[in-house]
Amino acid sequence: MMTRASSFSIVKTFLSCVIFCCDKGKAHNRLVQHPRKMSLLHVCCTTVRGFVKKGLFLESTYTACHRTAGYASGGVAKDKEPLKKAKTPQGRFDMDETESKSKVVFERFPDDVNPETKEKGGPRGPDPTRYGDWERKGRCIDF
Amino acid sequence: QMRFCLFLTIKINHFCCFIQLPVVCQTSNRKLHFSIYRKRGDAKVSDAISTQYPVVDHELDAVVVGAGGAGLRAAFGLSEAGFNTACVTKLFPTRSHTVAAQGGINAALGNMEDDDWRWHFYDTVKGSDWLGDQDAIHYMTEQASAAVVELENFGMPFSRTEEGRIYQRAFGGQSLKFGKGGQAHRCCCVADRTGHSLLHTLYGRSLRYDTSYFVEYFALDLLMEDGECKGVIALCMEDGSIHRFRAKNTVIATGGYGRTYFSCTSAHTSTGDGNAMVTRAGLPCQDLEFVQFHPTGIYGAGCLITEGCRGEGGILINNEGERFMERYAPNAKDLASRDVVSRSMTIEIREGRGVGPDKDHVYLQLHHLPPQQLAARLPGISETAMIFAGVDVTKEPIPVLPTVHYNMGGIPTNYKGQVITHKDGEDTVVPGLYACGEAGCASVHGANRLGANSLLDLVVFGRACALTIAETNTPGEKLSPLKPNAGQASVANLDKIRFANGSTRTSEIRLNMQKTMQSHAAVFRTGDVLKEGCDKMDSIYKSLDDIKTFDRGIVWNTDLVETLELQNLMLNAVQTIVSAEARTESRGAHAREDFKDRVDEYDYSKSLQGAGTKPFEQHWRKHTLSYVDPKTGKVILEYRPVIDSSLSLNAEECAAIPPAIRSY
Repeated sequence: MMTRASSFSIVKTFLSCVIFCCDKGKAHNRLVQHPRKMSLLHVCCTTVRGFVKKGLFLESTYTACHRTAGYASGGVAKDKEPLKKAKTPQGRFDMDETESKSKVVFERFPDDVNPETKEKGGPRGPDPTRYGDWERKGRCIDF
Repeated sequence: QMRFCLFLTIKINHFCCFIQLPVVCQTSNRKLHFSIYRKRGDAKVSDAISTQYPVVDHELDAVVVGAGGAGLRAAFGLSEAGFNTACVTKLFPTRSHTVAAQGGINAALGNMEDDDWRWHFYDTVKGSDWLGDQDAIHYMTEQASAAVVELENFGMPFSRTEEGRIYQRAFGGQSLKFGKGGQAHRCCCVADRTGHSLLHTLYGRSLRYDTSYFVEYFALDLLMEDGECKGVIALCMEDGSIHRFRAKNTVIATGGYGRTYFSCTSAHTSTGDGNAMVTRAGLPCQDLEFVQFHPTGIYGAGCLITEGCRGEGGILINNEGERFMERYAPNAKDLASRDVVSRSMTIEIREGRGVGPDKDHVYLQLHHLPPQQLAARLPGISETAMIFAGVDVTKEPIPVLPTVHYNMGGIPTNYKGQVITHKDGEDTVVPGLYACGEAGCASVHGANRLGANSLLDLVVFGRACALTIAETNTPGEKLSPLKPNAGQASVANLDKIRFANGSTRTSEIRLNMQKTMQSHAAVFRTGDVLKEGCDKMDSIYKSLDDIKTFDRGIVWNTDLVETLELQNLMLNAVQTIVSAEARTESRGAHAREDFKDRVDEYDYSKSLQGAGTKPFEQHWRKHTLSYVDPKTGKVILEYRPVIDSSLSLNAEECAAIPPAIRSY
């Protein structure tokens, strides 16, 4: 059973051989003049093609599995830089990314239990009904 | 070999993508229901109404209009009982306005201290200023604990005490021992998003049952024949087709109509469609003059600023920079009660001392307070002020004005959720029609709603409608015949609006109406102000004939839908202002400067011994029933007595509460 890496490397070496031969022989002219070399190239190509087919076929199933596995594990394309979107000009209400977000206004209670009232899963921050209406972030929700 | 196996797996995966999920047969009602497409074979296309607007007919057992808290509860209650139900809604269920109800839900569970639903009953009756129907209030408060436990069993994550019981806090004018035992703790909540969680729980639960959802279908009118409701006609916004939903039972749960006012906390979609549909069907709406206001709502945004701002030292100022509350309430100043503050603000604005380019609001000043104190006592307020008002609360004041929050009035129903009319001195049920939620008026809130009671109202009466329908009907009953051209008037109206070519735009007429209502039918109500408002509203109603729309298409025509919504808003607005003008007393949320007292059949401030009772025509402890002629906009008012007897005949179980002076 070939592993992905090894099959890839085999294909790579074959392709590099082919390219080397081509470069060496200045493929186009020499192919005509040197039928033997051409046949060698031809043989190389067919074997590579056959191998590539098999390798790439395995490649496709493996990459299909590994690609999804790669997404799941979080490493998509480790060798590339993530694409950056161009930013629009900063607006009046835009906060810098370094500034604290609104979530910090109400911090989570430890274990989500309010230490004074011992309420579990209740509203964060001060008690909403302390002023007689239901208040959150200065807004009156119900009264 | 390996290659062959891999090859096969790919092929199988490909194949599975194209398999449709099976439609489970409906006989097994305990298994999970899957029905991605609507029930086949039910919809028939016909051109019975007009050749230009082909109509699709659906035959069902029940139709629910509206998919907020009450609508969803009714819809899946009916599906659970086996009825073939459709839920017709103009919004996706989780986008209904219920999602904005972040407060809690009241129930006398007795988790924090000993509690009794009868004390909750007393508090609600008192809060409604004795205009609430005591049988409906009895029903709601008695069912409250069961309703909350049922929601919790559906998966709603209420906050808990240490022992694991539902945590209840003090809120909303609730007391123990009929007002004599101090503050009661009855309000259950889900962190700070009770309404959101309720809606998502109910929606998730409703997917278990076989309800057909018709999302983004705008309900145009009820199909009434011989005084009986036989279904609903609706416009599919997505493709412009007209659909008639024929059903023996129709439940209306379309919500309130906050958008008749310039400043309201409601979504843009709160346009009172259900009230208007019922009005056009010739049926009355009840108590529309009772609209709940909050004094400090942010100008233009509709978000309310808490009273805690004034409690921490914030002051209200007019355009002269004067702290005007000192003149209206010399002792309490800015900490006076909400209605006093709202009225003072409105008087200042009316007398020309408002701020802004239109001089139509006042300022709430907080920048004189130390910023650290503000951030410590009112965390998040600087963010709120920046986002909604665009002001830095430590430097500038916040523009505020009295804002509409809730509509106590709506479609009159009995405690079972059946819509009623009042003929010959008797309440008669309209067959086939039900209403629940903010659209219905059972009436549990009476003249003033208590906090955290409205979410309870939704679930209890949504369930009540479903139970009543299940009691009196069986699934699969044959439908009574309907005229082939039923709904023709609605389609004619639709066509007229679609090609309207007058001179004023929908948005201009709507703004005129909202400004008029805000200045004439808001908190400050006196006879001449209301009369002037009635005349203005009359002329604005007539200006609807001269409306101009721009989009002539039929697919997703929002211009058309907004104009239909404007028609609905107008019907609600004229009824509100005319009913307010006629009611010459002050009760609950309806407070008049020229008639400051509550006028009941007895004078409850004095001893009742030997006191003469006023006849029905002379006192005001009665519900207003308003009818409108849609062509002219003329409003006719009738009255119906308040139901004073509670549901049980046994006085020991639950005695009716006789009226008294309402003071807190």
